[in-house]
Amino acid sequence: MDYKYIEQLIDRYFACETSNAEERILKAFFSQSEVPAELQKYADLFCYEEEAHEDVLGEDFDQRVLSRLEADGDVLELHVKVKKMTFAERFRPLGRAAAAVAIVVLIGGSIHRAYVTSSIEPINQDGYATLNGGDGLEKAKDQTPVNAVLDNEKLATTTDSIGEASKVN
Amino acid sequence: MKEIDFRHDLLPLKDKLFRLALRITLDRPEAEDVVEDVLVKTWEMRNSPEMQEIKNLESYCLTMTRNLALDRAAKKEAQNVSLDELTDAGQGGTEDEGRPKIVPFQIADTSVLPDQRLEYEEKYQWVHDLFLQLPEKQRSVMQLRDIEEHSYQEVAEILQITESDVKVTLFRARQALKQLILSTKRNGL
Repeated sequence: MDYKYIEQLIDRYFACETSNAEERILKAFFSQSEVPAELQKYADLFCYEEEAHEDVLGEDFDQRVLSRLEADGDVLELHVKVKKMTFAERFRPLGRAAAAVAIVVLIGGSIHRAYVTSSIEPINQDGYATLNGGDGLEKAKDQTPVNAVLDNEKLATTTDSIGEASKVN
Repeated sequence: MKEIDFRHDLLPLKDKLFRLALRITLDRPEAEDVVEDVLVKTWEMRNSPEMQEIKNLESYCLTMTRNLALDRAAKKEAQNVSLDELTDAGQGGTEDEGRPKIVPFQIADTSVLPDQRLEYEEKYQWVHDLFLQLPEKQRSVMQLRDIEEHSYQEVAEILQITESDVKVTLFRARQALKQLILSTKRNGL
């Protein structure tokens, strides 16, 4: 494998020409287990830099500092902040909740109504008629059940008569 | 700077401050004390007008950590009294029958115990020792740049020096390490 790029980065590192990102590349490269022999001498330096970052203070330190602050009479008012509230302020969250509920109810109600009315309402033939152009309106008006039956009868008789006529011929 | 919260703004900085303090004091309990002082001092000053002008709390705390650590290191240096001075002090005042009274004096052994060494220090002991050979300024620049990955500008702000000074110091530190690495490796270590 070609390690020209890494070698170049190392040279630039020692010349202080590398960016933070390039230095991270070097650390990542050397933290892998297989490093070519000729670069091995630098491996420990970058691994050390990487691992030195993990040197941390324990929980006992936190306790020590916090108890020192407490001993100094400095009780941390971190999570409990005492704040004077007016009557209106106190009920503001409640108002917000009520508003949220109202919105949900209103939207829910209107959706429900839209759904229910659309399923109950009979099919409006006006829409169908306009789709089929101007004269569709007249046709649609003729399309009552009685007319439909009559039309079909007419159709039946005509086809029958065509059949009969062809038989005759 | 907006209102500071101890647990959320200051306490999370402890590790970074500790690592910088440790680079300067080279002594873990001492470094812990420095960090504790920095955190408490910053917290107590949170309402002062000086604090309102701080833009970067982390840089501010790192600067304070370095200054306190340097103070402590200097004081410790001053405490290192020579043995001659000790016997002189013992002679003063209580001189009866013309014989100097020998005052038993015990000096605490502050060297690091083997079990106090951390894993990374043990594994990369020789690199750690190379770091110790660098002067403090170079160690601090290396710590902030190579270990904490700060930009040149941030390092300059923390150490209160110019950016070009940071680059020069870092260049010297890295070159010194390179030479040390090459000479160490050549000796077959």
